[in-house]
Amino acid sequence: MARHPIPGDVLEENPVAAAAFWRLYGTLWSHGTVDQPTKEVARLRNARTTGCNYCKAVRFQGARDQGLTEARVELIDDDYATSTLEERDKVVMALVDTMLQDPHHLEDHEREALLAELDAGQLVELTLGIGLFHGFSKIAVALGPPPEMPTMVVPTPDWPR
Amino acid sequence: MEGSWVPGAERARSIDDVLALRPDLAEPLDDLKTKLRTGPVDAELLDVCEALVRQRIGVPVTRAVPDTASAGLDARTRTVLFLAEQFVIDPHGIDVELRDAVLDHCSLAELATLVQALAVFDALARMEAVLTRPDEE
Repeated sequence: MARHPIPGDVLEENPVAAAAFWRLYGTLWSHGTVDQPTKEVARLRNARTTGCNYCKAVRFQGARDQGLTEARVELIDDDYATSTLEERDKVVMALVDTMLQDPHHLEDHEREALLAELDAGQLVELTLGIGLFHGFSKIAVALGPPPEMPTMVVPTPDWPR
Repeated sequence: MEGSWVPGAERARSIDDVLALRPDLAEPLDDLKTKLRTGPVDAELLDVCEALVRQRIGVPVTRAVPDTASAGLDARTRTVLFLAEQFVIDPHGIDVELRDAVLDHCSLAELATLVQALAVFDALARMEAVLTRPDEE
């Protein structure tokens, strides 16, 4: 039993920083140049690798609207490289795996594959996104791992109103 | 950082130089970093945490990183640095005892600031590592 319970909305204890985060996250998700299914594939690959149950359960509406089906999401597992997923998804997941496990060792062929799929600005957006997906899923785990929960579709992050 | 393989950022000397390719993202990111550094946690402690995170991920640091077991550290700094280290290595290793230990020394507002700062430090260090131009040997 914790001596100091941590509320589920603890990040709002610093509302100024939380608002700044949501402005950044909303820009990345809803005003970026990388399509939402690509970012969602990266987010879910991170969720499953990092082991964040909340992040695994969430689906962003925008990615669904742009064609990311649950059947495609099911293939985001450790056998993705030999799955029927499109090459772009596999390239993105390999980048996620490298950033999470050994970010100094991106292979030449992986760099070439990324440059074939994304322009320079999109590479910045995607790598920043993966970093944030990872960092903030770690927060969820660090503050008390959430239990497993059913899949839930939520609005895509956008600028705070 | 000694250059990036991202086109247009070949001469980058920091991850900020790479992020400059996307000012629409760099501006709100800089704002978030500023808001974290001007929040309830003193900037010195955040600087030490950032150095520890960067060192553990293996990107250059510009200041010494204290040993988390050092007797010279006060209890608050030692506990926060242990949290930072576990955060980088494996957040599943952060248990109720460690969370309670952190909250013995920090308010909830400080905890909210610390974990968001750690997430941003971790994100940017990994981004820097993966986008740095590989050695040409």
